Amino acid sequence: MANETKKPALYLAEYGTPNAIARAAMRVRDAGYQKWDCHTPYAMHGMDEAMGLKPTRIGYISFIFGMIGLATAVFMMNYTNAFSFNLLNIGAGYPLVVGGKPPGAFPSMVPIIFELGILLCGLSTFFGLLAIIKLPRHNHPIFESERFEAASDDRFFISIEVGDQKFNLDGTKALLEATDPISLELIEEEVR
Amino acid sequence: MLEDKNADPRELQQLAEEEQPGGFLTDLLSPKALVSRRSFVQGSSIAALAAGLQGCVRRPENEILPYSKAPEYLVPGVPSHFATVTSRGRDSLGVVVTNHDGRPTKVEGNEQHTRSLGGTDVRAQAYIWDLYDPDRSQSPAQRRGNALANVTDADFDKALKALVTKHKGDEGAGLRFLAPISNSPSFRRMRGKVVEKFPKARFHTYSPINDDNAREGARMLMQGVPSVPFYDHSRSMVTLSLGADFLGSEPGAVAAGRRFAQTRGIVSPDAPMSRLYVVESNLTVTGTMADHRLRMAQADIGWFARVLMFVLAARGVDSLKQVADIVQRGSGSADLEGLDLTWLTPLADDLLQNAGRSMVIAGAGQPAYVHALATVINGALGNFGATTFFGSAIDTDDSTSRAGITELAKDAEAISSLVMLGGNPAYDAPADVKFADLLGREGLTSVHLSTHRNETSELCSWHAPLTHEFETWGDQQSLDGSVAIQQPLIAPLYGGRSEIEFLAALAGDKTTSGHDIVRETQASQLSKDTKALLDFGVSPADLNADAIWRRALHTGVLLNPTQSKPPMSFAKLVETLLLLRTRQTVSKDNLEVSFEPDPALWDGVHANNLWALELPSPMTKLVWDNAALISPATSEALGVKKGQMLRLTKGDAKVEVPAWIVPGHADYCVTLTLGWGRTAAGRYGNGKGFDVNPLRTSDGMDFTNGVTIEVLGEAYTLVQTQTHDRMEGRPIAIDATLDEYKKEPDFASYRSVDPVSTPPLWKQQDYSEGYKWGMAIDLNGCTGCNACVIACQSENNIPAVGKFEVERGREMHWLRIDRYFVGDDPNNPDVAVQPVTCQQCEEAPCENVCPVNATTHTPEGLNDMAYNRCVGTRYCANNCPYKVRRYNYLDWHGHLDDEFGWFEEFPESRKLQFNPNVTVRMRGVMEKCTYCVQRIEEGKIAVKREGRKLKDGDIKSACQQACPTGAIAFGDLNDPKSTVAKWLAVNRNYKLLAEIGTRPRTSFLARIRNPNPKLKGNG
Amino acid sequence: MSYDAPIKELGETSLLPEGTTRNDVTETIAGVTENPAPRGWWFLFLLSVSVLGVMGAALAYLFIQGIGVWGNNAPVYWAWDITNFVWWIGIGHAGTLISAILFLFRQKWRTSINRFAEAMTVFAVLCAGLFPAIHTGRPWFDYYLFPIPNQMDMWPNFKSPLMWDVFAVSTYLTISVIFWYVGLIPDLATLRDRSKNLTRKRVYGFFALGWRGAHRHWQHYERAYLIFAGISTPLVLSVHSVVSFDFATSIVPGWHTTIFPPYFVAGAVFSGFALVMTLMLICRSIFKLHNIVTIKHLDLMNKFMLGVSLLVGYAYAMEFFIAWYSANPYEQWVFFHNRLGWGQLDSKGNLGPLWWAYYAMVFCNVIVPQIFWFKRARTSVPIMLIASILINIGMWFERFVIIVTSTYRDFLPSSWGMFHPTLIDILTYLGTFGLFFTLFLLFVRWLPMIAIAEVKGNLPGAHPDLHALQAHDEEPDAAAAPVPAE
Repeated sequence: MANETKKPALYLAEYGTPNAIARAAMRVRDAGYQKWDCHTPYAMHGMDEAMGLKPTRIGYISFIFGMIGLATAVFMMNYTNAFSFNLLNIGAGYPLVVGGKPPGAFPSMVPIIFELGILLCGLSTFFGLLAIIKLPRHNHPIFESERFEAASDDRFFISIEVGDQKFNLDGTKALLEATDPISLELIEEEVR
Repeated sequence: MLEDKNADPRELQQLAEEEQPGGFLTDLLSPKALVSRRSFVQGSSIAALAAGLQGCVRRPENEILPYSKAPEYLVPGVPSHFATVTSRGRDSLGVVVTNHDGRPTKVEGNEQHTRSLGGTDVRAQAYIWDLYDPDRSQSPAQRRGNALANVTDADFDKALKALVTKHKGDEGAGLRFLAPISNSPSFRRMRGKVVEKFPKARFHTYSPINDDNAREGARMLMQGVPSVPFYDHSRSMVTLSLGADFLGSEPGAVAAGRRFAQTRGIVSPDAPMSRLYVVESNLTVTGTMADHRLRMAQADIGWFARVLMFVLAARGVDSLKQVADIVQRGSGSADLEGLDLTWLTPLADDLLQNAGRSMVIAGAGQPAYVHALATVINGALGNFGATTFFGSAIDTDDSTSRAGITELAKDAEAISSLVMLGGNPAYDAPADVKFADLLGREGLTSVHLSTHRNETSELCSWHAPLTHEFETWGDQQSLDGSVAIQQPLIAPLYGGRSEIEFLAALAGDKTTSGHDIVRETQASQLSKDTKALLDFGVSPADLNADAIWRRALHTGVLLNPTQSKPPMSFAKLVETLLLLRTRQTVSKDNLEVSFEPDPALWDGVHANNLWALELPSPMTKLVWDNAALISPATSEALGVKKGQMLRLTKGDAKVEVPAWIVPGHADYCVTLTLGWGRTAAGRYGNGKGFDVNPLRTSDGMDFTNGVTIEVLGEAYTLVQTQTHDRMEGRPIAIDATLDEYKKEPDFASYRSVDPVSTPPLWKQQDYSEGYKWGMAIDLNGCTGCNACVIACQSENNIPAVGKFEVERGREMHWLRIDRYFVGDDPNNPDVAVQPVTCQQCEEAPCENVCPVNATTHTPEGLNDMAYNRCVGTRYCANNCPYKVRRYNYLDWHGHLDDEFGWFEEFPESRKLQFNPNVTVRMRGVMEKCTYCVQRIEEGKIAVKREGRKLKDGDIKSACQQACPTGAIAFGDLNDPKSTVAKWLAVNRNYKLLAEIGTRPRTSFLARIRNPNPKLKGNG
Repeated sequence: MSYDAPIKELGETSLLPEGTTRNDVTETIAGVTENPAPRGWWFLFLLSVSVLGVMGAALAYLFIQGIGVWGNNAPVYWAWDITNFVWWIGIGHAGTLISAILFLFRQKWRTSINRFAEAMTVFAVLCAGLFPAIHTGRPWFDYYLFPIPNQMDMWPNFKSPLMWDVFAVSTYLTISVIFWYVGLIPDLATLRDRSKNLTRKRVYGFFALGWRGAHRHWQHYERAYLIFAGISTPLVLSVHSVVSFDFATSIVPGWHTTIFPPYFVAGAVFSGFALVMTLMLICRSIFKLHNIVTIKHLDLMNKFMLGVSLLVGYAYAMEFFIAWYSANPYEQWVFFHNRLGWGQLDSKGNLGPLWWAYYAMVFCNVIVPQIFWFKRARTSVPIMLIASILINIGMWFERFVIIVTSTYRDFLPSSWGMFHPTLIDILTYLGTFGLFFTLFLLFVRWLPMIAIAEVKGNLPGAHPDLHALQAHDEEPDAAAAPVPAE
């Protein structure tokens, strides 16, 4: 570890109030940065606009998988109780006379169709969310900052990453200082 | 085949010795015998048993012949059926026993036998269990100190020799024999041989349940050897029962039921229907079938008969006049006081109008003169030869049980050796005989042959195992004179001898094998009766003994009924009648106590029989106990509640019995059932119920009065399988009077609405192709006798669960008989009985709710259970409106009455009884009636081999087969000629709870009662 | 209506006391997991663990001997087992209801109790799920209930309501756990950031998934949460409807009733709320949460329970009306004899022997809650504690009445029976409390029992006023002064 070098990863500016960070966010947005983010202890409303974010699309995932759930249920029940062919050698369906009712009685299938739809919808939403926000990720350079621990308590932060085209050590610093943060620091990460 | 592997003589010899020391095996295993293939299989299969292989595969010693459908002699897995006969005191019941690989597993009726006509009763069905009773006596024993100690057969033989030599000198003076009533000609022959050898020896007869009164009654009228009447109910349009439970406990009840039902199962309102009047004290199955039932104290019934004679005489029945006149002159007037003529006159008219088509039957519990009166009245009405017959009385033993036991007790001093062939007098002899003391006398050598080491064995100096009727040869005669051969179905499980073999050995007869003894006896019989055989269809060419013998074994009947017309004189009867001048009445202060055989345990012979113990008593539905039965009025008079203990005291005799209230029981009468409270019955029967014998004295063996009753405080838990007696106005067991039936022929379907007429919501299953199984039960025929319940139990390996599990409603009977009290009079209600089993609904509620498809429908419309698939959610049982599904809450084969106990060893011998075609269910599995699907499949396979379609009667469900009255029809509904299809079309047919829309396959024929229009009162 | 709009009946004032800062919230709630556990907690915890042990013993005995060790019999094939199942699953409904439905209705006051209620849901559903699993005669074959391909081609029967149960309950459990966990993520991050020692940091950090409060995450997170609320709402309604189908689709009089789905859902919400109330009051006093769970919250919940009790009462009444109106003798018998008792005597003039269970139910569920008409009762902790406990007892009796008093005297009088519970019945039921409270106490000790992030979101001025900002860009910072909502 002795001779390893560090390289800058991101600027971290700290603010004390919702309005302060909102104002700062609008500045950064207007400056045209892309790879930057606000860190708040709770979901702060209005920040979408302040950061100029596009609405989320996670809903589509949930919907599609919900539908797949319904379809699966319909197929499963008809396959096992109403048809008698053998798919992929998982065992043939087995239509039986049960209570004198027709094997493929639809009304009796409704509850399970519904439940399975909900199940897949819910699971897909959860894993979809993780996929979109690229979590879990435990090793983000932002955690190098001591002050950042307050981000989950009562402070608000703006981080601008080195990866952004507009990023340069001085210009970005100036921009952030102009938003008079409580503190401003440059976070560095080890080079691997 | 498996036995062959074990076919090493030495090994056989040794195994056989373990199996049963000495006995028939020694000669069986001589090199000579080993040559014969049969004995070879026999011996080696015993090896198989001893080696604990695949159950008991044992062939009996002598050749026995399969019943009509005989398989290749031994096809493993294919059951064979053998005809044999079981004894009923002086009567007998012919049966056909199913053998699975040499194990008798099921008893069925023998259609050829005149006392069975294809039906059976509870006792016959229970016999199988007794055969495999784990507590049967398994070796001879000698008294050492206070206990019996096992000895070898050799020791016992020595002891017998000693006995013989001892009495050689005094010609048998001081040698006495005591045996239960026997119906066996061979027994009588052997008895003769013994008496020849020991001229001074004497035989005594004693059975606690006996025909003393009937014989005394006959003796009143006939000279010489009396002949007890027997009846043909199918020809009687008006029947009067004087305390006779002729559908229940009376001899010949099975045949009586079948014939009685013929006069009741009417299919159209204008068909003739018989009428039944019953005068009785306790509420019996016969009483429930009555169109008119009169509650009366036992002692009073005789008076009723007497007055009936007067009334008939007054109506100009000449032959009665002579008797009546003398009696009237003697005893003043025809004292009609107290007996409402409103009942008697219409009855008399009815009897007269049906002269020659009527009968009057006296109950075994009624005094001799009542039997005589009944016979006289029958004669006067011209019923002889029409409904009433006399068998050729061949029994030369003219002593009654009462005389038998009392005389034995009288000259107790003279007795030096007492040999008892079966029976259990120490438990069931009249109290005043003090039999235990008799056995305890100094210097008395007492030998007791018995299937169990019972109360008597424990007091004897010697005990030896007696064989079960299914283990040895014998011959039995019925009241109607017919004779049948009792052939062994399995070699004796525990060795031992039969009575006749024992007597032969004692008499030093050269033929000691049961087979030869019977052959000898019957050889003499056969020569007498070639004509009967010719009638019977034997071609004259075959009239050699062997052919006749083989046919007898094959059909189970050797001689057909013979009739006689004994001359009668009324002298003795008149004397008796003159003697009783005053009517005996009962009152709160003068209660009458009567003794009856238990419907299941009989006199106690089946006291260790699990099936019998857990069989609900037909009227009270009590299990695992007996009780003192009293009427509601009596209970109020005594101030006693259900289950409260009573102490009955007469002289110094005391018994304590819990009270049970039976609506319809005669007031101020107490009925006690015998057979309970055994102390040496076995692991199941010991201490169950209450022993009432101490109250039973030789002068009051049927009923007695002057018994004081005190109500003890504590209550005793009596357990019923059915706790609610009323139908609460629901259309369940539907009945109507004949008039109502005439007015409204399909009243049954009116009362239970059948919604099947309304269009279904979905396309219903089509069962019009192939077989469509269905069952119909005629409530006119069903007496509620329970034979079907035990038949089902033994056919389907149904476990017993024990008293306290029954209390928690966990009994397992697939087929139950519901009993309801109908009518407003709580003291004398009508009774409706209804056998309920799985209704095999076409739209079964149970199937929809099973999550794992463990119960589904077959293409033939059976509601099947896949035990392996069942996880036991019990949802199906919740959703079954008939509550016929049974659930294995615990491992019933491991638990009996101890929910918190660990598993018990299930006795090996009982495993032999299981029907290999029916799965034995484990705990946690739901089970129910399958219409005996194993029989259905067996039948289908059979006809497939013959390449034809099933015809009606090829397949019989166990319950149908057992039913004495033939009230159950089972078959193919797609076959218009089948009985069940015909019954379905009968207008009194209805389906239980049809309004729920389950479309049951089982249907019922509503019951019709046929009250006398002129007779108000209980109809 | 935007999320910031306050609830009308609350007026303009906030639920939390004036001047509560974000840091206060963090301290109070996170503090519970960091400070040493109060003595009360240890007492309760040891108690519940020992009770859990009792259940273990009872179950072991059950598996060895069979269902026979319970009081179930013929005709009462289901008794305490299914009663407990329905009872617990009902309790499990409050959580999702509070978090999902109230969330959709923008009821801000939910934030103080939703985490709590969701946890309760998860544990209650676990207890509930136990019973269908153990009430089978051969539990080792329970897997037959799942459509697993097998060489015998035997499949489950999807017509059976029990199969619907399998799917409904498992779905409900899965979704509830996910919903609960998703809500926990930001708060776990809080605990992670506050944790002093490495183990704590590692453990909480692991489950926090490296959450860094980035708004680009919050954006999707919020929508996902909304979707969960959206699907959970019909789910929670469907689950108890499906449970009610177990009875409604059967033919047993007293079960075969069309009103069951709404009736059961109402009952579920009722019992769920009651238990939330009970537990909330206890934790509130043990962990001193009076500032976060205020009397206002409790008052609102009591009003809610009063309303639901009226719904349930209506359902009871309607059942009787239908029984009478249908003129179905069997159904009338069940309601007027088995339940009401004096309504229809049997031919011997006897009441249905289990009539008392019905009156216990009506008293607890309909009579008792009426006290909440009075403000003094609604705001008195002892009264509402007793009431909520009584209501839970009453709801247990409701299920007992439905299940047992319907089956023990149904179609054929010959088969009528009676039910008596055994010791094992009682121990098994008690044992589930051990399971529930063990899990629950672990939860309140080690996890934020109140949604920190959400509570913060409800503080005055928690959200920027963009219009104001855009209007005059230069403006003194207003950290302390709350920004009045529009």
